[in-house]
Amino acid sequence: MLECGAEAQIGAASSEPEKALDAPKQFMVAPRNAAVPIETTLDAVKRALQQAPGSRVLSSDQKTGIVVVEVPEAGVDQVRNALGSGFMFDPNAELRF
Amino acid sequence: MADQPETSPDARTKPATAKQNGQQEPAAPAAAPEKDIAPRKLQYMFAARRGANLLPMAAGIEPAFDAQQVLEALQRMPEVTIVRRIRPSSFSVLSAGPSASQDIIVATTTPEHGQFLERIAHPGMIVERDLLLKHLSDLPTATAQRVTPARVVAASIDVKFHVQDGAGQPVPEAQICVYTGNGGEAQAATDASGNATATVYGGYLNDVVALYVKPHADLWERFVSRPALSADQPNVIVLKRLGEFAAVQFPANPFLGWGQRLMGLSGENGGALTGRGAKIAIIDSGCDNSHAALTHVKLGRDYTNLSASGEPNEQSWTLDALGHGTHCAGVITGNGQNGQIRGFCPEAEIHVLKLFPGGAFNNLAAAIHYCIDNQIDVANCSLGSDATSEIIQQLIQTAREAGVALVVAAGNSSGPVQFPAAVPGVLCVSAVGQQGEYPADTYHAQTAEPGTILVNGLFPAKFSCRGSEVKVCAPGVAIISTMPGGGYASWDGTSMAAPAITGSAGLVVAHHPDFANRQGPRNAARVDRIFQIVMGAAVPLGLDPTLGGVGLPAVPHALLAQASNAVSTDVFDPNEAGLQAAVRQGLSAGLAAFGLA
Repeated sequence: MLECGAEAQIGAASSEPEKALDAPKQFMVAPRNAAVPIETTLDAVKRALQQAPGSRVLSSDQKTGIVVVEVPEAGVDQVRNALGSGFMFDPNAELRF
Repeated sequence: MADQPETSPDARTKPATAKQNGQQEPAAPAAAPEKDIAPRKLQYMFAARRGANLLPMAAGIEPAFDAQQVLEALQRMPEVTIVRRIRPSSFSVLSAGPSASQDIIVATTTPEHGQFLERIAHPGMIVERDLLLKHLSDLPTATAQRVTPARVVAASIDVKFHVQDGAGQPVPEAQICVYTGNGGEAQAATDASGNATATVYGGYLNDVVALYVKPHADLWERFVSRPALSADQPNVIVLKRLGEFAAVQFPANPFLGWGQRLMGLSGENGGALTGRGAKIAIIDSGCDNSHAALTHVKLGRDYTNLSASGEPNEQSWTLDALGHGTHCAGVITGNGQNGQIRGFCPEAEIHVLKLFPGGAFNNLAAAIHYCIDNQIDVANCSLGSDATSEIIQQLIQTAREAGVALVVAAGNSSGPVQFPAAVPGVLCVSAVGQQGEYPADTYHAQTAEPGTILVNGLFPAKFSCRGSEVKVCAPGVAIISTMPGGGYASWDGTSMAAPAITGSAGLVVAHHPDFANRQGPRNAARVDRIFQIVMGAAVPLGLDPTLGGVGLPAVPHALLAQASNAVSTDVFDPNEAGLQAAVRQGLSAGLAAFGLA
């Protein structure tokens, strides 16, 4: 599934059921080289996600060059390795004030 | 053992409530009860110290402890309530004195009077706290606190509250938090009648360690340590109007919070320093621009409300369900008109970028990109995370290279500076408080740790994160600012400190000659220069740099000193001795206005 933005908002939907402990977590993927187009990033992400069943793309943002993905915990290392050093792979952590 | 003796029999336990038994909840009281809630009294035991008669100081043949005499003495003290007298079940052959000397008197009194009695007690008498007992099972916390639903129901107490102001008017929308000794927390919110019911688990109201009541607006919060809660009667909580505490000078026309005044804003210089020309972003929970102080705020994006194509909504940023962004906005840009708050930059161009509730790193990335695209000068980030992100860190550097100065709150965990405040290239802000700027019965008073209060009454807020990343400090305790719906509220946090620095940086951009007409290239040097001027205007408070950075900036004084010194200094030098002296003089004037100099 490829949608922009809405699903990448953590906890915004109050009706969202509580996730199980092993529920997939959100991550951001962005190229280290800012000149890499978003399409290239998306292709690389889709290939990497094949290493982790149950993972999916949640959104991509052309302006920031960031692709948000959801990956089961067991597949995080595989996805990170598959992306390689050309991409940053960070948790899409919740912010607080 | 816990330290919570009971004060009345009904406070110890309470059977399952009518609600739990499936019965109708009794109606809320029509008339507000009379008595405001107060701290529980402490329970003490008075007994003979064995072998006391052998003490050299024991006088004559009198026993060191005569229970009857002690009982009579305590009964004459108005602060003391006798609970019981415990007599020994049989005469012990080992006892050296009369049987009465083996009695134990149990009584309650105020903490202050109890301490007094402990101090003056005869050496032959033991005066000590009567403490609740706990199970001795030394289970891990997570296991010990896991309770079955059936047990929860059986051990829960529905505690009723009625929150009102000093005139007896009910206070709706007040949040009530009841904290128990086992780490539990019960919450409730008052209805339109000011009534609320909080279900406290554990079965012992004497295990309640604190009660916190946070009104929505226009009233002081309330914090009661060891509250004397009743399980049977509604517990009345009386909140003071903000204006009832005269020291804060609220309301006023314009209203200047203690932070604004201490940092150099005043009625005299307010007309000259408006922030006109600066572009400031507030990355937060939105901003209610229907507030009379914020009607000039017209621009924003809501990153919690995205279109199908991923574009942020351009209207819903005005809805601020949390109040946090609106509070920050008041300090940054309150217009100061008709009795409203006067922020640092009332005429700056404000861009509200809404991330909360539910904001994540990718939303922050989008907001920072907005700042880059729209040539924002200063962005306020009163936010943070336990996690870190190389992507965000890289983006922050990109923003800096594009001339966007990010001011970030250090965090409120009392620990190391959190992300992204710890990222190089941002201006990390810690929080300080000021004694005398809040009523003693508020949680604000709890943010000052003993031994940390400076001679001028300022103190590092105990919640403020610390570390070498802290660049400056700013007022962040009992900060009165705007709330959604039109009122004002007093909040704590590094979130409240950062806006004061953001506003100060906005003044630099708007009024310092280096940035006149927003001239010059937008690059990292520009950001560094803004931060240099802000930090150069700081006066050390005597705090450890990991707590307070270089000190508290007084940017208005620095700018005015710069303006009056324009002939001799074409280039602003924050390290110039004369200017530093002027800043110090200005801050001294601010301190003097507080009676602190």
